[in-house]
Amino acid sequence: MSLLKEIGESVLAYQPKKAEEHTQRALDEGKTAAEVLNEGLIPAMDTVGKKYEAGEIYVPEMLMAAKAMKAAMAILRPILAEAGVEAKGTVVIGTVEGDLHDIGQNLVSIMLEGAGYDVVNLGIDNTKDVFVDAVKTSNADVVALSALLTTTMIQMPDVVEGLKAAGLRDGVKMIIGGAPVTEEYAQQIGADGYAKDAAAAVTLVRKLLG
Amino acid sequence: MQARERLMRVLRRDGTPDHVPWAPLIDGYYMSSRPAGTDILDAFREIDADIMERHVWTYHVNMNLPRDPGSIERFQTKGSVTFEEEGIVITLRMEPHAKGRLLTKSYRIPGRTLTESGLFTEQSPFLPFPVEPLIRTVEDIEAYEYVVKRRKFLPIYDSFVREDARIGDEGIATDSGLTAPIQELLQHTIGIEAFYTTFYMDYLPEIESLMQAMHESNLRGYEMMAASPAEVVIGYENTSTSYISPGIHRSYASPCINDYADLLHESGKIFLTHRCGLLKGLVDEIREERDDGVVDISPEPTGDLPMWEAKEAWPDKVVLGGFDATFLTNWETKQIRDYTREILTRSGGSERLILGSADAVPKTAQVGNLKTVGKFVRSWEFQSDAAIEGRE
Repeated sequence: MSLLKEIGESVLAYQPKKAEEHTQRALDEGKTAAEVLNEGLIPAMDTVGKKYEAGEIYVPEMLMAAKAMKAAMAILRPILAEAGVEAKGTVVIGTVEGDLHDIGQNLVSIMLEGAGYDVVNLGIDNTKDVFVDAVKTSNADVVALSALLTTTMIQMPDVVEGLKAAGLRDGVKMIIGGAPVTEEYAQQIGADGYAKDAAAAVTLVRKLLG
Repeated sequence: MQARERLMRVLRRDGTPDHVPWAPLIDGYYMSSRPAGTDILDAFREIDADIMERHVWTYHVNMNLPRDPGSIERFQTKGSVTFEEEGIVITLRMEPHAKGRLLTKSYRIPGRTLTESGLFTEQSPFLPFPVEPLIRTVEDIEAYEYVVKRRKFLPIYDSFVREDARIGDEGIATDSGLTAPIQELLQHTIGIEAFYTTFYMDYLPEIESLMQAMHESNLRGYEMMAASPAEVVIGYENTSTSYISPGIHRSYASPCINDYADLLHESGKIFLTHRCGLLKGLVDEIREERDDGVVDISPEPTGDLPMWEAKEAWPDKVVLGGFDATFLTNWETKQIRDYTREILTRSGGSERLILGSADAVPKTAQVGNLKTVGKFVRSWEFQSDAAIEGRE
């Protein structure tokens, strides 16, 4: 088995130490960080996403695979930055004002990072101004809003309006997710898409960014 | 037929009810939308529901709140209270916070103090958002095990009997069971990410030892429930594949649920489990478990299981639920009526079926929508659709 494949296998077997060791070995043997990322880690996380969508694995396994991926990324990230390797895009993500549930958006962040995107994770309880500032400063391609409650999902249209008022809406795609949120709601508030889970979010971002 | 008999016929699977009961989960979340001082029983009456009151406890846990008279009042006045149980010093502190009120609880045991905090906000005034979990390090696991082994359960049967009598024939009071340890750790004591990526992956023997201690403690609590006057106990598992997989559920949650069910069944109790999340991936595991029913079942978008699928998937269980928070909040009356009709039509008969909310009724729910379900079920079996619509 090639070393890059072994890196992928260690992610799929939830083995962070092996992912780290294989990554270091691949670099030592002359592979570039971009090769390790694009041919080892991203395909592995794609497989994780597909298995999740097919109901073969669930959130625990996704989290454990992500831990292995992160162990490898900790080695690659500074090298990628130094080499000027650009991410596939930048996604700003956070829960809307009043919502303090972060597990869903953390999973989406993990899967997007695993798919090669830069993620600006704003965490929980963000006002529309926080989203607007983050889009400005990060030059984001996508804004992802999360809400778990019927009482907090109503903040989502405010963020859409905030981005419009700041003149940023046309330059950024908006996606939403969370337990009470639906595709219809996304259309209703003028978002560009809805994702029912982390794997679907990656598919949606890929589709929106082309 | 009175609501108590109607509910118990379905729950005991003993005869046919005159109509499918309507028993949504009314708790503090919905009550915060009612005028101050509203009696919870009046809230049920207002929406034409069969009263199935939740969280009418038959036991007190010594580590939860102080027992001496006046201590709760002191806590409310001063914002903090300290008490001692089994050599453990417990402090509860409530402080103002920019987003609401921050509740901090600490356990001081020999050589270590464990602290957790949660935030009550306008959006969630009764159930705190976890801020800091109790267990953050491997050393905390052992410390918490020390606490758990000293947890004691004290009967408060009289208060249950009083509330049940107050309900009378209008419904039933239900006791709240203790959650399977893995669910407790995932949802409260550790958190989902840290549980899997830190403790499950790197400290499995330690976490298994803690779960065993928690389970043994829970069994002592269930013994108290088995001896109580409550006929129905609901374990608030919050089961969902959004944070547990079938394999892990089978290994760690199912055996505990089965133990609790067996213990309660020995005393003739009914054991229901509250599972309000994504359940499609767990239907096989749940089918094999020995609880008598699953309550507060959610269809999409919050969950993924319509009532008719749940009823078919679990032929030995009562199923309760069906109305997602978003339906109760956003739908028009006609949509609610149509959906009620769909559930009743597709569920194939009134046995094993109780309509209710999917998880707790939110404070954003429209009273008119809740009433619509209550009226519809009362008329369903005896009148045509046109007659039902004429009455509404």
